[in-house]
Amino acid sequence: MNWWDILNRELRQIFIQDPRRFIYLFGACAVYILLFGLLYGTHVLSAVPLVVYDEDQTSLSRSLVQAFEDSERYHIVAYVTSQEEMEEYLHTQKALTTITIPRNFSRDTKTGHSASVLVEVNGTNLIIANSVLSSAQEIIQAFSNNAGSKLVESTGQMPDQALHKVAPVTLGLRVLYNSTLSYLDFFVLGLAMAALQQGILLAVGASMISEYQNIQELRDVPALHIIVGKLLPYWFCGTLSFIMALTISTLAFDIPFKGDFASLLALGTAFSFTITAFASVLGAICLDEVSFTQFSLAYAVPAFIFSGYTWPQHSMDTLSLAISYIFPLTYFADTVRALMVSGHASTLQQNILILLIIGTILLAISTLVYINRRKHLSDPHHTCPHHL
Amino acid sequence: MAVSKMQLRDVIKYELSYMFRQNPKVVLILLGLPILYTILFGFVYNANIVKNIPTLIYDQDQTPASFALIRSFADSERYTIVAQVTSQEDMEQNLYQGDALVAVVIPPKFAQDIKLGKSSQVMITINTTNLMFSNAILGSVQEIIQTFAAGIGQKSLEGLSQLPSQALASVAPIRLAVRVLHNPTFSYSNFMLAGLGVNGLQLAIMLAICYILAREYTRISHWRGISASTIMLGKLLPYWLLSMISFAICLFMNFILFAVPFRGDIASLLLIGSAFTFAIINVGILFSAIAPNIVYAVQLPMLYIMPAYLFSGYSWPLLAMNDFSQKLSAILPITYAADTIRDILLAGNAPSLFVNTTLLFIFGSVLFFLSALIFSLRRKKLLHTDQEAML
Repeated sequence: MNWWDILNRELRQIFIQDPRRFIYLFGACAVYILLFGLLYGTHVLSAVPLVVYDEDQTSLSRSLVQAFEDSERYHIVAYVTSQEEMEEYLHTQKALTTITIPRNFSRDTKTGHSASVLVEVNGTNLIIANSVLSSAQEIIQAFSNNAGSKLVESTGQMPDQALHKVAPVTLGLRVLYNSTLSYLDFFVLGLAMAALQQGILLAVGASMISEYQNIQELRDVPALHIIVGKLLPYWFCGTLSFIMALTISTLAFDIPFKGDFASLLALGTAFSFTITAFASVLGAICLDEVSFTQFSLAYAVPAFIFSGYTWPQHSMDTLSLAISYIFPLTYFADTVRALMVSGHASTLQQNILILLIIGTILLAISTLVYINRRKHLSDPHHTCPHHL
Repeated sequence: MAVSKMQLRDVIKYELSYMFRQNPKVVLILLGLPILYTILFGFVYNANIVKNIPTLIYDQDQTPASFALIRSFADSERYTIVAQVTSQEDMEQNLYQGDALVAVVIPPKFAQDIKLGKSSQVMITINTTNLMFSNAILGSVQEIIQTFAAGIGQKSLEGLSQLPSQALASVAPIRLAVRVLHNPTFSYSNFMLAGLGVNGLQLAIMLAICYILAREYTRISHWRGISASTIMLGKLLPYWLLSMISFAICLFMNFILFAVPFRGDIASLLLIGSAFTFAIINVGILFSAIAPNIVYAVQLPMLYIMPAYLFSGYSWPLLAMNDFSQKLSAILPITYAADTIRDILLAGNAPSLFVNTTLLFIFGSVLFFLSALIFSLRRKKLLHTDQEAML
């Protein structure tokens, strides 16, 4: 038997004898995209329950309330008439944000005393707090400019000039790449890549562990042939699964595909290689599939969080940053998103190189461990380690 | 389904010796994994907010007014100015390379326009591939520009012979005061740590509990004469106790090491914790009862564990989910626990505490009886073939 026969034998195992491996390789990633594509299908937060406490009850205050009502971000659940009632809504979480318009709001605004509008928001969930904060600022700002320019007009200035006086410096925002700030575009790709990693790990793990459990079967085949023949199909399938994932995310969920296919393919191939090699080392260390699964599942969460995909590496302290460099996902997930969403990743070549180096080292380790283990087993005095 | 105290004690003793002596990996996972997660993630989010965002300045005006605006960015801890460029191309190039994530463009005649009473627009360009940065920028940039504009507008109206305070009121007649309840600093560890700890705990329970029933099928005659419900209860109790210890240690570490506030009372926390661990242990028991072997018993729970955390409403809120996602989240135990625990910690009270606790206990009990049924059926069948083999 040479590596080609081993490869064919492995393909038979993946597709016929142990189809679990096929499901891990192609299913994990696809299911993740579908599930989380649906979860983040709303893209942005809308209809945050809002309570209005309008102490002023004038046409000006009502037009401010109208501005909040017109925003998709808010859904007014109640108009209250006392502070206590408002607190009650917040306390029971029937509302997550409130707006209080003070008595004399209209009079103060018109007589040139400034009036302050209070927005309260439940800050336990930062996604809600962030979105309320930035949209409330925008709404109040526009409203204030409008009211201010009327005030200055009343001093006898032309409307245009009045607006310039009250808003001498305005803010223009140019939002690159993810212009709607969609959570779907932000999050789903990374989750799918984490699932891809998990799928490759479990499939290769199942394969290596069953090989180690029947190590005598291939005792006449050179170790390198075994390792290469066994791992090539997983490397290839992992890359294929990666392409499939990107295709689904673009076709089914409209995630932008701005990068060039060659760069993405190169990156995906490098990552698939590294994880396949990593899994083969792990399969040599863990003595049974139960331990392997336990380790690989416990590995998944830190790998994702340390990858800098959500909480940026930029904001990590030195220790966390050092840890983040250990995980192959760090060189992959963020880069895939950058390529897909912005069309460009400055660290692409560097990351591909790092992944290939890590993968090659792991592959060498895996081969050496295999040779070593086989030598031990051919020793007649040695008994096979049996673990449950 | 009679439960004898003596027999129950035997099963508990046996299971404890299994967890601690025969297969100490069980204890290691149950206690170690959630603690490891808490420490790791506590360090990751140590900075609490995204600061020092690499910022690019393209000042086409070069006047005291534009320098003042640049200084307001430099003074904010959110931004670190990494470069000043002199052309649009340089700016685009820097943004493209990812050297900077935000660019501030001050137009030519910025100061002159302000003095002439024309408005002038400051252009902010944001790279939004990572929303963590975008949120931090959007939350602070309006404030910086606003404060700066109000200062300038005030001076310009003072020039029209208004009094300073009156002038300020005219340019900013309505001001926004924001009160962010429960997490005023937008601390990311307050937001995330408790939930990640709870997620780590449920993962640990699932990984450790796979052996619980699946291994009994391979040595079925061991508990001959003891009812299925006694065996299961005796096995459940030690896991429940250890999980609660793990839960308590993790939350304790949140307060001590990572300064997450604790505004609620311990009793509520223990109540929801016990309900949650009870429910999750029973999910694990069910998987272990139906799995054909231990490998399946540890791999099947992935169906639950993988989507559970993100569908729980802990980060992406329930109110933002569509019907399908809300229905899926409604059947996941963590949905009833993670948010509630964070509410107890940060807000000091969780309105749905009792409803959620009750639901989790009911859910767990239903699963327990379902697993007991499956276990006793499979056991009977195995005992039967066992007997036939002996004859």
